[in-house]
Amino acid sequence: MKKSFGYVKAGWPPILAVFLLLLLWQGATMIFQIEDWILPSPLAIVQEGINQAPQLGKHLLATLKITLLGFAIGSGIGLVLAFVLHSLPMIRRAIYPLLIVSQNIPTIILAPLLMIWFGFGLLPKMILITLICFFPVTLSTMTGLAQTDPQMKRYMMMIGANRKQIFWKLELPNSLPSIFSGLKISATYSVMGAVISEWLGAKEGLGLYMLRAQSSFHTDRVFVTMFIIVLMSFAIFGLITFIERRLIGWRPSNEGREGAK
Amino acid sequence: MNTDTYALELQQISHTFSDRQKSVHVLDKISLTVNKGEFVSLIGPSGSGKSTIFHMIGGLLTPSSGEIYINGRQVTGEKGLISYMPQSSSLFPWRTVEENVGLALEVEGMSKKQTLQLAREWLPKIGLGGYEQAYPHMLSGGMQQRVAFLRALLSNQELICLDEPFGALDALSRLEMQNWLLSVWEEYQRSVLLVTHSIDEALLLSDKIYVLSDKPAVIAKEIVVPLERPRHEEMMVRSEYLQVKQQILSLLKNRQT
Ligand SMILES: Nc1ncnc2c1ncn2[C@@H]1O[C@H](COP(=O)(O)OP(=O)(O)OP(=O)(O)O)[C@@H](O)[C@H]1O
Ligand SMILES: [Mg+2]
Repeated sequence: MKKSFGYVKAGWPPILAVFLLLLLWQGATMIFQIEDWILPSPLAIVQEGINQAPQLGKHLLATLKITLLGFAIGSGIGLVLAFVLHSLPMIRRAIYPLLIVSQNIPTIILAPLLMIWFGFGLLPKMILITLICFFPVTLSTMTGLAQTDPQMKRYMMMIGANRKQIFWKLELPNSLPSIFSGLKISATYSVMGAVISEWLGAKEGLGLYMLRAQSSFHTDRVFVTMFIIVLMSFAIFGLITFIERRLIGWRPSNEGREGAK
Repeated sequence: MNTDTYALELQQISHTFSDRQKSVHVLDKISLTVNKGEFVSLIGPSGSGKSTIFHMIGGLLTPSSGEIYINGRQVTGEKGLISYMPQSSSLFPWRTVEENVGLALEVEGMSKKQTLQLAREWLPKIGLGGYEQAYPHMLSGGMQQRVAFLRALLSNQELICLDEPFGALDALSRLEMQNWLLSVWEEYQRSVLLVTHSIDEALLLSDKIYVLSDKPAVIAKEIVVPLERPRHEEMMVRSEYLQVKQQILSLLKNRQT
């Protein structure tokens, strides 16, 4: 009861802020008579969104598909890589600097190369999204694994736990909060990665739709796609937060202990 | 007495920690024994190496010299032969109370279902009925210590090592926990090695007390507690109790100055 009320209480200031901003925007376009192809008004954008809904559905679905697939593959690889690097310190020392370097290569440069090498199918898109979103997961997972309480680890060793037991019973659960913060960053990156990969060659998808709208000066459609992409990021973020709450139910709440009864 | 009657025997354990800059000689020829079913305490000034001794018994550290025997077998450096309650309770915050209790058994290879069943059977016996599903952060310090103790008690190892189990508690709950431990132990007699700073705690609970000197620690004295069982708090005012207490106190004082 109290908790849901808390959400409402925490939710209204940003909602109000966004509402005021939209109001201001609408007012400005009306007062200053800004041309539609420069800055369409929010109402015009909503109108265009409704008109375009049938086509948009198809594109949204296509983008959502490669986003989720790419995110699953990328974060999966990120997790496994973190586990491997954590348990093999020698390899960690060899590969870690390479990983950091790899993160300094701009995606925008990498993308055309991938298209040249792998064509326009699903594969280069998956590679691109994976490259963009494995790193936050790897980094946060490794940090989480390394932050295991040494006292707890010592306890596990004294009672005779082997490496496998220490990993599954102590290190992994201990790093879950950290893993989830990595997953959340990766999720937003993967939406971005999916759209970029569609710019470079796709038969459908929001990236392609946006590109077409832009080249025909349909600025309102560009805004529609933008809002849809933002909403999609939000939705994925929310889903991950939901799973996180489910899995990490033990964390003491900020409100203190009296909430328990 | 034959060596395999001892649940634990330390023979001439010495240890020096060394790193690049300096080396610290911590333990010097420590020998002690714990009989089966005996409650033995180790008392000594802070930093004298008590936790270090436990880390050696647990196989975490290999002594510079000397040997460790459990049930007559040479086990120096072997892990997983004792049940242990660390100086900090070390409960896992993501496990419920019952899951925490079952942890040591899980590591020993029991199925999770069985460990939970056992934990549910036992929690009411230590006054924690109804807290099976609670997380450690919802419990008081004393309750957490009881959970950590039960985790150690249920483990199938013969020897229980308790490293200052009540060090973090206030005087009153400490006394309460000592009485509680006393009653549990008198019912289920296991071999116990207890580290403590409190002379009263050692005297009230143990059959035998080893007094350690300051670094490098040697066994300053082995004292057999002259009190019969079952023990109660009223014994703490007896003259023989006060005499032994005085003796330990002066031992600790002498070595420190
Ligand atoms: N890994 C280590 N490296 C170097 N010195 C250490 C190490 N571990 C412990 N020591 C030293 O060994 C001594 C004994 O430490 P230990 O933790 O065993 O003391 P203790 O008797 O348990 O103290 P307390 O009663 O405060 O818990 C201390 O002086 C400490 O500085
Ligand atoms: Mg200690």
